Amino acid sequence: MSPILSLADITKTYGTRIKTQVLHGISLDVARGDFLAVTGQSGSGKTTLLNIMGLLDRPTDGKLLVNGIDTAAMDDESITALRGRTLGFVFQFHHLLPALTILENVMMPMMADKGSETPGMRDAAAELLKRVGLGERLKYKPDEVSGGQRQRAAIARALAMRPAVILADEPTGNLDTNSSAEVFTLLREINKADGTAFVIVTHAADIARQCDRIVEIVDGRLV
Amino acid sequence: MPFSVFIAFKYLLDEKRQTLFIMSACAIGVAVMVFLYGLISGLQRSLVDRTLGSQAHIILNANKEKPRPLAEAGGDTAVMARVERGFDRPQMITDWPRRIEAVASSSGIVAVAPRLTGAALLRRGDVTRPVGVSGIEPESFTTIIPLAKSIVAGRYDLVGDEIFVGKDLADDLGVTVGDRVALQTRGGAVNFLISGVFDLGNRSVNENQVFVSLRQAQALQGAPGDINQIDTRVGEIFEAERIARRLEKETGIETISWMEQNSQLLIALRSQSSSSFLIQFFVMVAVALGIASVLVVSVVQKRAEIGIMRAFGAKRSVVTRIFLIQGAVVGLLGSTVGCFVGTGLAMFFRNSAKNPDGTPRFPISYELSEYVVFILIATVVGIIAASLPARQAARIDPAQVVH
Ligand SMILES: Nc1ncnc2c1ncn2[C@@H]1O[C@H](COP(=O)(O)OP(=O)(O)OP(=O)(O)O)[C@@H](O)[C@H]1O
Ligand SMILES: [Mg+2]
Repeated sequence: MSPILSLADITKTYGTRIKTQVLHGISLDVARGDFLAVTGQSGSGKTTLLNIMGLLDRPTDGKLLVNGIDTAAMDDESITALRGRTLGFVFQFHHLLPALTILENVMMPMMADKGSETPGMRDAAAELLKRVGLGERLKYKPDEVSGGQRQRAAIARALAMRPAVILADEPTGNLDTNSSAEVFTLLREINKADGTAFVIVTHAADIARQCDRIVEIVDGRLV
Repeated sequence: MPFSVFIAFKYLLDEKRQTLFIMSACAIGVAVMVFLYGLISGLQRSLVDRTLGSQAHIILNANKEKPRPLAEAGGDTAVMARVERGFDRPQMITDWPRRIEAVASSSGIVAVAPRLTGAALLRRGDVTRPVGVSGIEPESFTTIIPLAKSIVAGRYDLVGDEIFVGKDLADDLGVTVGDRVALQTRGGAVNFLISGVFDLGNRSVNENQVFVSLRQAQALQGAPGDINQIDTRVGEIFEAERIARRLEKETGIETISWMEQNSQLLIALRSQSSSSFLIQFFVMVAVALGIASVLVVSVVQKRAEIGIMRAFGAKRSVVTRIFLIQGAVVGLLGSTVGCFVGTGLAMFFRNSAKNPDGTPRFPISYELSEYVVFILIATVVGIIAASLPARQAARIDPAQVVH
């Protein structure tokens, strides 16, 4: 079985006039059930790498296969659909839509995929929120719950389309020690229960240590 | 509900003050449009109605018959090309019953009436007044000019030597229904009995026109059986000029439309319309700029949210639609309110500008279809206004805004 994500010799150069090469040939596979930590100094290119893996940005050079399919030739619309169905995101900031309730925020990726609300969507989203411990907060707006709860709602949203991989960029970076531990435990549970692969960018050594695999970026290369 | 509609409404409801603000801008703009439109069209309608109240839409007049060459050039005949208007020869429309039938069946014409016009001196005791004398058939003539409705004293009937005089002429001479007056022409004086006094709402007509039966007019002019004018009424008043030109070609009789006779009025109406259109146009441009600027700010504020939606599978086209829908909703709802406000303003204005007798000075009224057009225009303006922010939103790159 081919890996979900397969990066071969990925490079990324920013800018047209003043060029900054951030990634220098990165090769990496993410398979089902992986629980991977990405570490590295600030500015080493972790977010850049995650954006490329998440189909949010295109590499300057190299090959990116999703489920064995090359993404280089795909147009924006197909990339968007593929991204919505295959990948989930958790960011340092929760980025919940403030105009929507917690429940509607979790339904958002489903509605974006189907084009409108379909039967069962609401229940499925409520089920996911129950799973992250927010079953009692469905009708709350994001600014009516705590920071840890917001981040858990963001995780429920990342799970909405049952993605094969969730890419998390410093998911606990904004949380206190307790909430941070809670959120990490939740990610681990989901990984164990569903086999969802995780790629977690983190600064915290103790979090990285609890992952199955750690890669470090130094000077745009994996070590 | 489509995803884009769902998000658009969430955004509009979430930013209530901002939404209310741009909807009010739109409502005010449309209210101005509706008010101005009602005022201008009401004013124009009343001006045109007043003008046409004493005037036929199209007149075919034999006195203005085009001079024709006596001999046509052709074959081996050489003709000296010199065409002169007949001298002092009152011209008549020959074979007029057949002509009237032909004109009546011409397209666009809804009513036709014969008329014999001439001039005379009207005498009452020692006082004389020059007047225009029109010989008419009362039944057909009132389908052209509402003379029957304009009788303010007496009855609408011309039997034997009866005559209608205008209100101002009657006042001037101190005569009324049942009095006798004399009409003097070169042929002599004939006595008439006033059977009706009319008020056509036009002072010069009320002072200078009298109506007698067609037969009496023919006797006065010594032209038994003849007429010199055919009056017509058209269905579409602003088609009159076009129809007149066609009738002229068909009949060979010179025709004059009310539009030609009132060209100054028409120019005034037209420039009034175009200036009111210009005002409406710029009002809507201002409204569009207002909507656009608020939405542009909204897009900037929502960059990260838009990036998130894109990351979670929302296509660019969906993002575009989210903002176009907001523009459309603002235009639709704002203009609906604006229609009510504009109508209210117009009604207030109508009721405060009254004639001395209490009737409104302007006949302001609206058709449902006119409201539909205003709402449609405002909705399209809303969409156009939203198109710039929508395009901006669609260009947002999730990798740049989400961290
Ligand atoms: N859009 C961009 N244009 C130009 N340079 C960029 C852009 N985005 C990132 N960079 C540069 O690329 C390098 C890597 O940035 P990146 O955000 O990937 O680092 P990071 O490892 O995520 O850092 P941190 O731990 O602080 O989040 C930095 O030097 C940054 O200045
Ligand atoms: Mg980063």
